[in-house]
Amino acid sequence: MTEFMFSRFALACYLLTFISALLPQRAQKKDKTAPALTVPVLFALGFLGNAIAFFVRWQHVGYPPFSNLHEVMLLLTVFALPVHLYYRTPGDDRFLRGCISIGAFVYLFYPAMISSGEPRPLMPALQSHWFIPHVSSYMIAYFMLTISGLVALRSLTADGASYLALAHRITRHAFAFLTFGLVSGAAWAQEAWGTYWGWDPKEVWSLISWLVYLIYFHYRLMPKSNRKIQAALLGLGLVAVLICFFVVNLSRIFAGLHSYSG
Amino acid sequence: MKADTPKSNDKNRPGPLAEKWTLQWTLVFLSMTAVALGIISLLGGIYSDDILRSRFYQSWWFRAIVSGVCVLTVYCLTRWRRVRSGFIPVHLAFVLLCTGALMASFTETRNYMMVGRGQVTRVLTDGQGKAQGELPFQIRLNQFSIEHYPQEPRLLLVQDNHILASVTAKEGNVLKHEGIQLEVLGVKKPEVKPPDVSKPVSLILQHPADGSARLAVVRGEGTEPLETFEAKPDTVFKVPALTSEVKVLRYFHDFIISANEPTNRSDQPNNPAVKLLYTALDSGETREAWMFAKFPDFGSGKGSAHGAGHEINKEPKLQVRVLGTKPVEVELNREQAILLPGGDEHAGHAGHNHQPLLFWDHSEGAVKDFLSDLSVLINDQEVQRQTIEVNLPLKYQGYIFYQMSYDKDNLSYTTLEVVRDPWLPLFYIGALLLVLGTIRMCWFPSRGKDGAK
Repeated sequence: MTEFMFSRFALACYLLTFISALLPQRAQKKDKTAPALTVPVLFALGFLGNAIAFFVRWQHVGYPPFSNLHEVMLLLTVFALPVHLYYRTPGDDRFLRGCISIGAFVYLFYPAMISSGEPRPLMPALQSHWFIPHVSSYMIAYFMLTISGLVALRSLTADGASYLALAHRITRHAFAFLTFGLVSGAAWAQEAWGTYWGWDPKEVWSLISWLVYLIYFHYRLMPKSNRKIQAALLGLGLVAVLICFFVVNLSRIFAGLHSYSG
Repeated sequence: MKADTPKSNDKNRPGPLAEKWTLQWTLVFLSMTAVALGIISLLGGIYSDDILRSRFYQSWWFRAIVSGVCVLTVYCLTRWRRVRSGFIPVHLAFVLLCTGALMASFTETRNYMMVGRGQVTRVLTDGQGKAQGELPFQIRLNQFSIEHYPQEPRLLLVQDNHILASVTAKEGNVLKHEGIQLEVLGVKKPEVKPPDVSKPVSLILQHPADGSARLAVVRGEGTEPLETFEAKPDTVFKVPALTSEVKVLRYFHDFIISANEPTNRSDQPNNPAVKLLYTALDSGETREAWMFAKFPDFGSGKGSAHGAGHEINKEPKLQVRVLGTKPVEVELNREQAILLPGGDEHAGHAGHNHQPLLFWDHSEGAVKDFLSDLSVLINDQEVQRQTIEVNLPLKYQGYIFYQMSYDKDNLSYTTLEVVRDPWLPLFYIGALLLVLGTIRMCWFPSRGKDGAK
């Protein structure tokens, strides 16, 4: 079985999980608050398919599959179930499950359905002990920040205080990964190119997205900081992350040393 | 994380106005930094990287914005006493990183060295090769090497020197591109005939009409070569049919003896000659011999051994079927382009008139790594030796030598980038503090003395 079979299976599971999150929760005969068993099983199967696709890819290319957009999006979606398990609250977790499953579906769509996945040899610059920690910390951060951005949107409603608290918690944890990714990238650049900061477009937009979240944390310290502005900052941070992740790689405006990661 | 109103009689707490003031200005300067970075990066479509760097990132106003953040950070460090864990390392890290970067912009040196194999040098150059200074020691390149990934032969569809599509040249593989479909049928192996042992093989120097010279293994009195080798000095090749290894010692295109020394009489290839070193594969015995293209009987080029190998009458060919309403089968020779069936053969030189071509590519795989074996010399004595590659530089006396590039036309040269930054330790200390402090603040937040988290 190929990587694509597993990734498409995972895609279908994530989509079904998202659809189930939109539906009203079915009442069980004995316990009306218990979620249906099929949904967690679907989510788990999606994660399993996703993880197997990722490891099949690894085995096929012969090196950690982190070197292009196809591979990092396969990696990023592997974190869907672990993130859900860590942040879910007892009771009705449909909203969080919906956010995570739709986020995983959107990100997984490209490697599963669009990209041909033609493997390319790993170029000399990527053969470093920083390769795995730098890329994986960024992918964890990106996925978590995607979820926090979606949750923050929900917090704009009247009863959104608890959602904002959840978004803040996810963002706080993701920010540590984001910081490590930024710093490890600089250390890697120093080892490879002799400069820890070269004003490469990817580096600049990584810094911009980091700064947006820094602004968010400082704004929260302000007395009587506005909840909607906090949510807006989280949304803006997600936009900066998406620009850094996609636009910088694919746009002709931003040509730089990271152009191979597209 | 809302800040509670501090008690007015608490000596250790900053006043609320000061706290709000610093937060507000921090937000202003951070926002200015982010906006400035965003705008400058968008200008990358108009300006080159060097202009962006010199005119914007290193401009006084951008440095002023970053300095503003730095000053506020220092103020917060000195002003705040009772803070939550992680606050001090994170803010101290920022100050160290900014200080290191600012000092490096004034004191860092960045130069280049292009070194040939066996060459010893201490000269540093700029990006255009102009000398910029010297090292206090010497660098010698002992060896430069490139490693390639193994690559299987590929079938390429090419147009205007661009590869439109490619597929591994294996039976059953199909190449698809915008309505064109090509199926690889397989490799047609060459015909192999047993050798005619009644005729001995010999090595002769041939001089084709194009002015080149080559050494050819021929059978009997024939001129059709069984194998050919380049008649270039230092070329080494084995000729199993002669049970010998042959090395080209010298080559002259118009050989003549002058003052008892061989030399070239003119620039024209009037009398090509080579001096060869034969080494017997079984006994290891060596002998030298001259060979002349115009006098094949002169010299010791002929072998007495009968051919021990096989003759190759034809090159292998790749068979491809062009799918469509009228499938057509074509054969490709190695490294030889042919017009895609259906193209206009009378439209002039194919390829330059936008005609798609088929090509059976046997080029080497992508570069896996390129390495330089370097020695550091002081008074001609080697004090350090290291093989460097990308991500593995050499460090000596504050200088760091990075494997930057190489000359694709001359693989005995390497290009090194030489950097000296005495403030680099500030970066590493700041980076470590930033990561540890962020983890502490974000994953294990302690409640601040004001009760906020």
